[in-house]
Formats: sequence, C-alpha cells, structure tokens
Amino acid sequence: MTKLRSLVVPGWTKIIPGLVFCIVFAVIVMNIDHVLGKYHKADVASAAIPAIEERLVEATALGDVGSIDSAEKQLAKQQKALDNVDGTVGDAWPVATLLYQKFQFKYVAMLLVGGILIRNIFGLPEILKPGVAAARPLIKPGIIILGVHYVWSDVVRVGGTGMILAAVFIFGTAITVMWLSRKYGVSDGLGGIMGAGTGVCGVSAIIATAPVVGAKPRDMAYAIGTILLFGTAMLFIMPYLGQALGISEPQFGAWSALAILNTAQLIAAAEWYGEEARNTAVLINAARIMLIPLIVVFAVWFYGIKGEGKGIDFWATIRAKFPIFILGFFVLIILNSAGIAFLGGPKSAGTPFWAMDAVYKWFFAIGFAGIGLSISIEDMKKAGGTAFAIGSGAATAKMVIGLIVVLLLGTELLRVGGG
Amino acid sequence: MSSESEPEDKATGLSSAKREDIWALIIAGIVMLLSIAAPEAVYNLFKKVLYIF
Repeated sequence: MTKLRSLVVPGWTKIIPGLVFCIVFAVIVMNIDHVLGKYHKADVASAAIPAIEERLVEATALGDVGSIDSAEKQLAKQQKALDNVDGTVGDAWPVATLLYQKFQFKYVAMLLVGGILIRNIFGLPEILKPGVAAARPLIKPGIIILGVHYVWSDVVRVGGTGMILAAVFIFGTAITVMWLSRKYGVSDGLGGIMGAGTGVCGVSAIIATAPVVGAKPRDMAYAIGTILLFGTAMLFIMPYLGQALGISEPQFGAWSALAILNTAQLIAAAEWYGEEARNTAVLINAARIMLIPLIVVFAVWFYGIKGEGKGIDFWATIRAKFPIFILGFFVLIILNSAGIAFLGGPKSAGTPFWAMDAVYKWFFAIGFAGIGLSISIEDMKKAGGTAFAIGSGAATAKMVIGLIVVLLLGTELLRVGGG
Repeated sequence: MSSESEPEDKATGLSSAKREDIWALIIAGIVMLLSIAAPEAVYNLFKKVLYIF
C-alpha cells in the first residue's frame, strides 16, 4: 500500500500546467506535420499520376493483367492523396515538398527546434517546469506500445545483434573513459559517471551511477552538460549526415542506437529519419538499456573494489537499476508473436493492436515537446574541462566506429520485419 | 531519458526512474484495455479527431 501511494509524488498537481502546455504544443505541431505531409503527398501524386496513367494504357494494350492491377492500385493511392487536398493533376505544392522531404521538417524537428527556441528565447516560466520535466518520460509508454510492431524473430535477429553491439560499445566506451579519466587525473566521481554516461544511456546512467561512485553535484552537472551537449548536437547532425552518406533506414536506426547516448534523443533522431529507422533503433535501445544495471555494477567494481574497497550487492543493484518498463514492451512483442486472433495486428483494421498503433506517436510527440523545452543552453555551458574532452572524444569515436560497423553489417540483418 | 535526480524514497525504495517506469506500464495498460474495449473509437480519436486541419 505504501508503494502504491508512493507512485503519486506529493505536490503532483504542479505538473499540470507544464504537461498541458506540452500536450497543446504537441497537438499544434502534429497538425502542422499532418498538413505538410498531406500537401507533400499531393505534390508527389500530381507529378506521378500522368506517368502511371501512361503505364496503365501500355499495360492495357499489351493485356498484361499483373501490370494493369499494379498500375490501378498505384493510381487509386495517388488519386486519394490528391483528393485529400481537393487538388487536380497539374497542381503543385513545392514548398510542402521542400520543407517535408528536402529539409526533413517533420514533427520531431518542429517540436525539438521549437522547444529549444521557446526555452532559450522567451524562457520557461517556473510554473511550467515541473510539467515539462514530467512530459519527457511519456516516451516510455510510447515505447511499450510500439511493441505491437515487432515479432519474436525480430527480437532474436535485430535485438540479438543489437545486444552484442551494445555490450561491446558500452563496455568499450565506459572502460576507455574511466581508464583515461584516471590516467589524466580526473576525480573518480566525475570519471565514473562520465564513463557510465558516455557508455550507456546518458543522463539516466549518470544518475544511477552517481551515488555509487560518490560523484559531487558539480561532477554531475559537468557530466550531464557534456552528455546533453553531445546528444543534442548529434540529434540534429546525424539525420542529415545519414542522408548525405546515403545509409539505409535500418542502418541509421542501429547507428543512432549505438552513437546517441540518451534514449529519447536517439528515438527522436531515428523517428526523424524514418519509420524503419525508428523500429530498429527502439529494439536495439531496448537491448542496450537492459545493460544499465551492469554498467553500474562495473562502475562500483572499477572504483569500489579496485579503488576504495567498497562492497556491492550485485542482485540488489540489478533490481534497483533495471528499467522495468521494457518488460511491457516485450510482453506486447510476445502477444503479437503468439498470433492471438482477437488482438489482431497493426495492419488489421478494427483490432486492438491496430488501435494501439495509432496512439504511440502522440506519446512520442508529448515527450519530444518536453525534451525540446528542457534543452537549456545555460545547462550545456556547464560542460567543460578534461572530462568533457575525454567524454566527447570517446562519444565521437563511438559514433564513427558505430557507423563503420553498421555499414559492414548491411541493411537486412538490422531490418525489423514486424508482424 | 530518466527524470531529474530525485533521491530514492527511503520508505518504499522507489526511485523517480522506477516511478516513471511503473506509470509507463500503467498508461500502456490503460491504452491496451481501451483498445480492446473500443478499437474504432481509439483509432478515430488518435488518427482523425486530434488532426483538426
């Protein structure tokens, strides 16, 4: 009963104004995204319809039933896109295509950039801050619900590959950063949280590791500043870098899951890049965050047992730091894989999983609004010193090596088939 | 992605990250129950009604 009561924090009503603000912000942006997307599709359809009609005429003349059927389906789809904006063939909406396709100005970018601008130009009133902080973790129910997109074979193939990659990258980065920090005289507290932060999951790993390595509040500010600065930069740079390099969506998803340190930021980058990228990123990230408790245990071993002789309760640490929400994600994958008829699937109209598939994006949008509004340039200025150089150097190395690895692995091993 | 560094609740052992995780499970559970009870209504709300334009 005490545990149940503790789910509601005292003064929870303080989150209402900020949460409502994030919801309104998300609704406005999702509508702008919807309108832009609608006109972009119509612009593409307007240009594509004459060519499809030509193909249909040729196929009809040849009596090629397969080609006729395919052309008719394409024509119906494109005509629907045009009808959605009451357009006709020959109409053009180049601005929508420029913004939506060329500049990738989708809801993720609008929420993040808009949030950062609001926060840093106009400032965020104190009354909104608790709710904005509470909006960020709403990405978690979105991740759980996204479980309806996967089947068990995806988890074994993509998740298995991801787990191996994540383990190598996490421990490789963490060990390197902790070792370099010690070598260059950075305090154990700061070196420990920087190693955990650059290795695993950014801010959550820093918070989880801080008490066990005895990090000071100033150390936490340095480490969090570094993680935020690097994560925010990568969030905006990587999608454009990915496009410039021409890497596939599944490869980008894997790359972002390995290179970006924060769950919300990597999902934002992958969602920005495309649906397939997001599906791969979420699965590899699920494998990655399950390793958080192990990195905490490692940090204690590295600094505790080797350094000051602190003891550790292995299972208590695992229990305390395990991200239990990810179990919900796996339960949905199991249900989806079991082929339970009445639950259906994301593409079976009228079924529960089809309905759930319509919801997750809204949780993401509210969470992204919270992230954008939380990014304070003042906080990032707190990054600095030798630890910053080591942390950002290791994170950059991880990004470059991650890119090489996903390019070597290819697309198919990282593609989520879904069910 | 975790929350602010709120200290762990000594009486319950619930950290803010754990609290967030439990709420995420509760919210996802509610969405699932609603989707089982009225899939069409949930779909229409999130795919049509909320898109005002």
